[in-house]
Parts: sequence; C-alpha cells; structure tokens
Amino acid sequence: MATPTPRRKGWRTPLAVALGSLLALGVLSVAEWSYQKAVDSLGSLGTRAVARTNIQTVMRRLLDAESAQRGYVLTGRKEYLAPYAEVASDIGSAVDTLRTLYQNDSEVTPLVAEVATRALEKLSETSETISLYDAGSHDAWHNLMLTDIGREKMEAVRKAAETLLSVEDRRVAAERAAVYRTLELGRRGVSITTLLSLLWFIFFLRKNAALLAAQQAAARDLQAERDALDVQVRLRTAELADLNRHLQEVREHERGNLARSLHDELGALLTSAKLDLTRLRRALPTPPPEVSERMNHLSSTIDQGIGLKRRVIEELMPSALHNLGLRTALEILVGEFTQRTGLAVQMNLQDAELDTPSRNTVFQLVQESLSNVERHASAQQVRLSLLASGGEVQVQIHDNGRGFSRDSLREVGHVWKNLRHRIEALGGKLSVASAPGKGTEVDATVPIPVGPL
Amino acid sequence: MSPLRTFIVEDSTIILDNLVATLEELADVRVVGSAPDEQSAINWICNGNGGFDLLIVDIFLKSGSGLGVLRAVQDAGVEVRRVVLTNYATSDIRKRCAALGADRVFDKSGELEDLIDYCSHMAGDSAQALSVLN
Repeated sequence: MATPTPRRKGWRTPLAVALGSLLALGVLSVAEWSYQKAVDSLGSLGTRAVARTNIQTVMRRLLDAESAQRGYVLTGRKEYLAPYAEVASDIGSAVDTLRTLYQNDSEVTPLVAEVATRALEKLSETSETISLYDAGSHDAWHNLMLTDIGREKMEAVRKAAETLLSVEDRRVAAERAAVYRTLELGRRGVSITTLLSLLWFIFFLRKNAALLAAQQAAARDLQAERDALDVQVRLRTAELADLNRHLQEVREHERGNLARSLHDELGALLTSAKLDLTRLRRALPTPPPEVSERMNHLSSTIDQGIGLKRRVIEELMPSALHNLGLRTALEILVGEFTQRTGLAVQMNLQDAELDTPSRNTVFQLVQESLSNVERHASAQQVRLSLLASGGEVQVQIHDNGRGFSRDSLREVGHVWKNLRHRIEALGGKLSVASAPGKGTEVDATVPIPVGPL
Repeated sequence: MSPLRTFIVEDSTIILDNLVATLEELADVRVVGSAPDEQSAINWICNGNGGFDLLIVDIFLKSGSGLGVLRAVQDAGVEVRRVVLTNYATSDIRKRCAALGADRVFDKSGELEDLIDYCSHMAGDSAQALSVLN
C-alpha cells in the first residue's frame, strides 16, 4: 500500500549548478574579451595617430626647410635660416620615432626607410643650394634650382609620405572596423549567453515547481494515510470501549447471579440448619456432654459457613446497594468509613434513578475515593455530594488532605483507569483535581438514562 | 396461654417454612400470614386483616425492603410489636431500624435463640395480660 518514494536523480543538481556557472562564466568571458580587444584597438589607434603626426612633421619640416632656403637665397638675410637649424634634428627624431613604432612591421619598415631616404635627399639638396649660395657660387645654385631636382625630391618625399599615410589610413580603417566587429560580437555574445541564462533559469524554475508539486502531493498522501489511520484508531478505540463495557456488564451480571444464588439458596439452607439445631437443642434440654459438645460444634460450624457466605456475597455484590438503593448504600458506606477513621463526612445526597451499571459505577467511584482518603490523605474534612438535576447525576468527593501531584498519578492503577472508562462509556465525565497540600477533588457526572431501567 | 399472632415478612420459602415450624413449636406462636415483598406486606397490614401482635420483618425482600415496611407501619401508627430478622444486622442497619420503630433486631444466624426467647416472652406477657383481664 505504501507509494514508492520517487528516486531522486542525484546528478541533476550538480549539472544544473555546472550549467549555470558555465553560462555565467560565458557572459563574463565574452564581455572581457570584447573589452580587451576594444582597448587594444584603441591603443593601436593611438599609435596610428602618433605615426601620422610624425610623418606630417617630417613633411612640414621639409617644407619649412625649403621655404627657409628659398627665403634666404631670395633675400640673402640670415634670419630666414633660423628655422633651418633644427630641421635636421626634428626630422631625425621623427624618423627615429617612426622607425621605433614600426620596428616589427615588415610591410611598413621599407616605407619608412623610403621616406627617410627621400627626406634626406631633399634635405641634402636644400643644404647644397644654401652652401652654394654661401660660397657665392650664384650660378651654381641658380642652375641647381633650375633643374627640377628640388621639386622632384620634394615630390618623392611627398609620395613616400603619402604611401606611408595611406597605409596608415588603411590600418586605421581596419582597426576601426575591428573595433566595430568586436563590439558587435561582444553584443551578440552577451545576448546569446543572456538568452541561454534566461532559458536555463526558466527550465530551473519549472523543475523547481515540479519538485514542489511532487512534495505537496507526497505530503497530501501522507496526510491521507494519517487520516485513514486516525479513523482506524478511533474505530478500534470505540470497539475496545464497547468491549470493556460489555465485559463489565457481564461480570456484574454474573456476580449478581452468584450473590443471589448464595443468598437465596445457600443462605436459606444455612439458616434452616440453624433453626433445626435450635429445635434440637430445645428438644433435648439435658443432653449428655458429648452430644452437647457435638451440637455446639455443629452450631459453630454452621456459623462459620454463614459468615463465609456473607463475606463472599458482600464481595460479589454489595447487598445494600442492590437492595436498598444508591443513596442508602452510600450512607451506609460513609457510616462505616466514619467508624473506621473517626472522620465525619459532610453529606448532601439526593435520590437518583440510575440503572444498575451507572449505580454500580458511581458506588465504586465513591468507594475508591473514600478508600484513597483513608489511606493517603490525612484529611480533616471530607465532603460527599450526590445531586440529580438536568438529566444527570453529579457526584463530588472533596477532601482537604495532602493532595498529590500530577506525576504520582502515573502510578494510577487499573481501578481508576477502569472507572474512567466506565464513566466515559456511560456518556459521563470524570475529573480528578489535586495539588500537593491543596487536597483532592473528585468530580463525576453520569447521565440519567431515559426509558425503562 | 394464647399464642402470639405473628405476621412474617420474608421472601425465602425455605427459611419461612422452617421459621414458622420452629416458632410454633418452641415459642407458642401462631403465624397468621406472610408476605414476600414490601408492597403486599403493607397491603395486608394496613387493610386490617385481623389483629396481630407481632411483626417479624426481613430487610431484604423480593421487592422493596423491610425498612419500607417499618416506615409504613410507623406512619400508619399500627399498634404492634415489630422486630427485624435479617442477615445484614450491621450497627448502621440496627440504628436505622430502631429509628423506624423496630423494637428489636435479630441476626438470622447468631440470634435465633434470642428471637425465640423474645417470642416466648411476648407470648407469656400477652397470656398474662389476658389472664389479668379474665
């Protein structure tokens, strides 16, 4: 009947955790990668700018040199040569910078060399002209200038520089494209990994919901089983209570029958025997001593028999209760109690019409309570009340004795358990309240049965 | 000597027969009637079924009790001697019976002789009373 417990797939949780971590790692990696690449590209772009600047510096300085030279040879004033002095070193450092920048670049290094060479040529041509002028060889420098060498050289440098610049431009474009690509890839990568994360998360949520539903179903099954068991327990308890009551009734019925038999038949026989003996005695006023002795012995034997019969009858069924009613029986019981203990009992007893099981139960309750008072309580005051009202009988036995704590009640014997069972089976209630030093109160109610007793 | 007219309330026929025989033999008693339960006893007594001198009552009867009979006789104010003969002669019962007007209480096993003596005495008394009148 037990439902099989669902087999927990042990690898699910670690897998889920691994997948989740992987996806998280993926997003991080993609983001990091695109960041790095973009930073690299921007770095290169910075380098590109530096290169461009230097190339343009070379061009500019050469132009400066040319115009310085032109100015000087045109006017002869030395002031025009002022910028010329640093041109060579400027161009030199610019070329060095370029060389350093492109030192590992096999495509561009020859281009740089070309620019450097052409620049040098142009510079030498320029300074040649100047030195010719300084030497006073005016025809020489005229001729030199008339030959297109200056312009050609300049053109050569310009071309070399432009080639280099166009390579640079191309490179810059490539870098920029690379940046865009990187960003695009990064963006796609993040989208994909985010989407995957979302999907995984949804999957996880569903799994969770399924697990929760399974747990709730299991809990409901368990509850249903518990409820079913509860019902069973209640049924059994009711059966047991019923059985107990039945046994109790049977027992009392048997005892009643036995007591009646003893009383009616055996009692009558013994009393007859005594009467016969009495007549015998009267018939023999002066018997011989042996006969007299025999008759005395016979009398005492019969008396013992009668005593035994009476004790047995009282044990089986208190005759007062049976014949004289509950109230009278209780009065007699209390009288005997007072005689034994010297304690007066305050009584408040009403007549009550109870059927035999109820009467016996109430009587036994009072009997047991008084017995407890006698044995344990050391009380000064005892109150007993039996009241009939509102369709039920209320019994109270209160004493102001030592009381007892709830714990010692664990030792409650079968008698009290049985009493409680019987009272509850009759539809009544029993409560025993006590505390150390506060006395004891036994309260019980028993419904008055309606209909024929 | 005229016998003591006696009415016995006792539910066991064995005891009743035996008791009647013993009393009539040993104590000059004439049993004028008997009843096994409280109600028929009261009916007989209070319907004035002749006069009688002595009432012997058992406590435990087929229905009702001897105490009820005593009470009824006391309430009715019937002039008659009442004694209780019972198996249950505790001091409490004795007190109750006395309170209800019983003159004596006899234990069925231990005090039968005393009952017979009492009846003889009563019979003697009544005979003396009669002889005085005569």
